[in-house]
Amino acid sequence: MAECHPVGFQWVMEAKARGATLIHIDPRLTRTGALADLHVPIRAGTDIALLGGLINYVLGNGLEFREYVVNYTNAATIINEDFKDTEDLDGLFSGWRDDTASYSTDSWQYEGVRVASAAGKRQQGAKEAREAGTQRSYQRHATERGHEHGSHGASLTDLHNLRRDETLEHPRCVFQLLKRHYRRYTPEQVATICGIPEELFRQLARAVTENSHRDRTTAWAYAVGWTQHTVGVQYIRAASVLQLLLGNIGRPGGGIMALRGHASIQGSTDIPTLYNLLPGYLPMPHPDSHGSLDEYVADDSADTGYWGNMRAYAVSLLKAYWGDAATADNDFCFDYLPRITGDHSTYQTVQAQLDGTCKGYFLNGQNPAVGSANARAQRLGMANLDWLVVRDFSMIESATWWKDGPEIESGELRTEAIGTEVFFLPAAAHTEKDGSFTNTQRMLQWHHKAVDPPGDARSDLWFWYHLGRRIRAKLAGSTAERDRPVLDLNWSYSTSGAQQEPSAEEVLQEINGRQADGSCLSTYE
Amino acid sequence: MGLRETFLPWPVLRQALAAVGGGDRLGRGAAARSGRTDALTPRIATADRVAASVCPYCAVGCGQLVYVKDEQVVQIEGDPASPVSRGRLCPKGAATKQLVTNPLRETRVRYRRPHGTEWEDLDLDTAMGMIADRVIATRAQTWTDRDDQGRRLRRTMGIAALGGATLDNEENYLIKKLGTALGAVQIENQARI
Repeated sequence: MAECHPVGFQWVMEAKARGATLIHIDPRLTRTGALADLHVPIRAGTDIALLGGLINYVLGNGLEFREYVVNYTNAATIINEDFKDTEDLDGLFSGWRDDTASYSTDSWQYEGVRVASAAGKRQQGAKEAREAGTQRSYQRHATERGHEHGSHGASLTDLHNLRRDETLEHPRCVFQLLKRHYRRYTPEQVATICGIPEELFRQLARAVTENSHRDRTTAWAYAVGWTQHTVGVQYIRAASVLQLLLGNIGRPGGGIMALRGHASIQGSTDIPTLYNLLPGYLPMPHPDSHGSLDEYVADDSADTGYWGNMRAYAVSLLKAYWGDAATADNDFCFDYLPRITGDHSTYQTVQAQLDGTCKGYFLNGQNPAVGSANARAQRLGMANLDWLVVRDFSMIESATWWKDGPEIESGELRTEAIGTEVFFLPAAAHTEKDGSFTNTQRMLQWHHKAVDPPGDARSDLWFWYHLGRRIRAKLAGSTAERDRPVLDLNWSYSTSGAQQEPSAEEVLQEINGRQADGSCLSTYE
Repeated sequence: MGLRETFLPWPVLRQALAAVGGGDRLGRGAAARSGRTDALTPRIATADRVAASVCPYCAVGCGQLVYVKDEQVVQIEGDPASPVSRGRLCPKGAATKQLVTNPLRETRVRYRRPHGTEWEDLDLDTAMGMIADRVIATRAQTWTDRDDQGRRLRRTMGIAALGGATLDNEENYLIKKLGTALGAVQIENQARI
């Protein structure tokens, strides 16, 4: 952080000056480690053992924040007796399916209820609910939504059926299961696996636990040093377990902080350009159980918390997209949304380019010809396209691979034989457009335009607005059913200046949301 | 040529004289100044206007002040009013002017026709019309209304987009909105790479 986010690191140093203990866990001794109170140089990729060791240290020594754990986590809840841990099944948890190489999470449920039973089908008998649950967990796998397992917690109806042991002594309560599972990560094991002295681990464990109680909290910050491991999700989940046991979630100064690397990478997650999400983390619908808006909401909403308002969020988005065309009578045009049926992320897109399914590709300030994994596949995929649009500042590799790429040099590809039509459109810089970035602390900041972009350079706001305008004009009068979502789209933003730049402020107002009378919302509720 | 013209501009002599005679014992005041120094004016003092902006590099979100003279960016500095950065920028952020005024920036549309060996010129307006035509044609050609089980998909797998993480929130919103209306589901971003 001292090297990659030096200006943000000033706050860490300020905290240290005020008495905070700074610990740096990194195989390398960097400037961050040099300034830390403690540097823990673990072997690369051994974070699960380290975090597991900390969890075991907490549970083994009774150092959890008991009152918090009992009242704000599911530690007291009793799990189905069908659940088997890895000790019982030679390394696998119960529910492993060889055919899909994935887990069916049936046996992991709370005793007495089924968290994963399809919402809306909960009134059915136990057998149907069980089958619906199995089907649902399979669908979650098939549509790449396994990460949603257990999200939003149990339903209010189910809460009455939960069995809890607030003494945390029941052998099948979550707390005891955790305790047994993590018992393996003893300080000696951690020292062996992580390649650090046992005393250093104990020093770390003492520092973390002594600083986590009613009056103090500990925060964890991570970046791609965690996420880019194949088991990155487990690292972050393990850190979540640790922080919950210590009462460090949802309290001032606690938490797990993802340090994000690019100006608005958080923004492109919240207001997503991601295949499985709509703005505000609404899921993209899939065809299995999202036939109507009601089914979609029933499948993903919750009885408690903000997700209890999911229907309002979905309807607001559909109204923002399709305006007057979206009415209660036509399910607010829910049917206009395309459906996802699996993983449609960028690496699958490259496969689809190689097999000829994907024929047109827009690159908006991204350079996969050198910036993505398997850059060669990226270039070969682009060489199999009908057309490619590259929007960037300069002639990046993703724009010129047909002329000077490594495959041209090696003779594998011949320029004359490549049929891809390439459009290079120069892009405007952040100083040449209005707009907002969402920074790593999830704060939106507006940047004001200073000058006009030079020549043909335009903002992406300009490009996508005017492209949509032209497509809509060309499709006007079409009677094809598939063109209705395009023609009914609410796509009018005021423009200004000789270049007819659309108003970023109007788009931000639309993202923010409006009252029925058209005025901007001033609160999330 | 007199003594003054010959030796006085010699910095060591000038600094020694300033240290002894001018009371500048640390050599950081008058000794460090020259006629040229005195004639210099900071670019931020002569700028026509200044725009408040945000650094485009990492996600810390440091405030920037963009100074403009004669419709050109002449300097970018840290914004002391920013609660995030308190006026500071890292070396990369402090060099942002070199990003936005870089001589390697392309400012014209370039076009490579299928099987072409060189870039060609293309009018922006023409290019936009051609791209709109490509989208419409590819979408029609690859449209999938239902899957083989008869389930409604209403999409095209023929068109994809991949964006960088310096796109504004507003730009991401329009990309997803138009992509979704067109039925293109493969809308992705650096956020997951």
